[in-house]
Amino acid sequence: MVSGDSFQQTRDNLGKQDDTKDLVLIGPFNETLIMEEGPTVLKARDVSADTIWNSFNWNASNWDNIYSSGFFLGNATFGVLGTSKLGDSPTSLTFERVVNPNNKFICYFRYNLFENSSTTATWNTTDGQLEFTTSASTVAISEPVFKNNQTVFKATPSITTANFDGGRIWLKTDSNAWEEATNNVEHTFTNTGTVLYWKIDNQGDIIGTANFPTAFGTWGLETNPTEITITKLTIQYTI
Amino acid sequence: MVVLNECLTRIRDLFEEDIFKCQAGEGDTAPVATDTGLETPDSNTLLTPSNEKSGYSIQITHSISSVIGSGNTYTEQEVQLNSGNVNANRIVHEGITKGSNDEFTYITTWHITSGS
Repeated sequence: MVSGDSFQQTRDNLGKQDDTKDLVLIGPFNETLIMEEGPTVLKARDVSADTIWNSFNWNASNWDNIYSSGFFLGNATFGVLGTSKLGDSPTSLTFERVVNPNNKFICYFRYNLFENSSTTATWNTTDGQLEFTTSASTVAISEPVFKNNQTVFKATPSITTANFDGGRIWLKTDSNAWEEATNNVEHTFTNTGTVLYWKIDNQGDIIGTANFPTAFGTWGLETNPTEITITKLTIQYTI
Repeated sequence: MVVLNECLTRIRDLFEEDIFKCQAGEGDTAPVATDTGLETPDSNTLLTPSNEKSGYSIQITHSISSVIGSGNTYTEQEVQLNSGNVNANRIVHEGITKGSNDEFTYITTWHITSGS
């Protein structure tokens, strides 16, 4: 039989009222699963300068005839265990190709792959976000986010953040001239090229030096850069 | 009535566990969703990648040592799933010729997200 609690219309005033119809459901709800293929990078390096071997050349007889670094048996300078390393430090991998599905670069800041060493903002891979604090002028600069021997003519950056006040985004190609772009607006390059980079800062370079508080409020120039937290960056480009 | 974060994590883990190997090749036709493999695969580059999970993302690193593929001009790469029976993707890029001293490393990133 149907109980009174689950069949409200047959109940009088006994039991708890069915109030599920009063629930206010606030959307939108995330109901779509999306699996995104991100950038693919091809990095390369010349390992001919490796001394003895490294992890990628085991058993490859990749001896070096230049013992300017690393460990070399019989050498007074580079044959000292604990001082010189057994196996040379390989040269750095360089970006040779970067391609993106549908010509759209996507970054969730989960890896440092695209972080240039000149970055002073916090590239927080633990939380997956790029952080600009109020304590100092900071900047984030990318490694190449597109490189495929094809000319880039236009690009549209889209930044996911609760606040981008005071933030600026710049784009450049390998012509090496930064051009300021606007969030969610297509930018046409003055200096086209075949490699695409981005840069974001929090306008620290135009911040004033002093406020002067009065009884009517604080006047003068803002003294601190804006705190910005970016969780996603996409750049749709045209080649 | 909402996709939970732990669901995203679970999908990420299942995908990562299913990654088998990666392979490079020399085909250059544009990739389409109906592709089932590389156009001209180089079996010497069929190697087990290293994977790194972070958040709802996976980064797949496919390293090709200097002793493999010397003289080949690589233009395509894939990530294989399910013991090699299924391919997750196929990317095509401008060719780059691998010298005898060159070490190549492909790095691909995948993200799982939810939307309304």
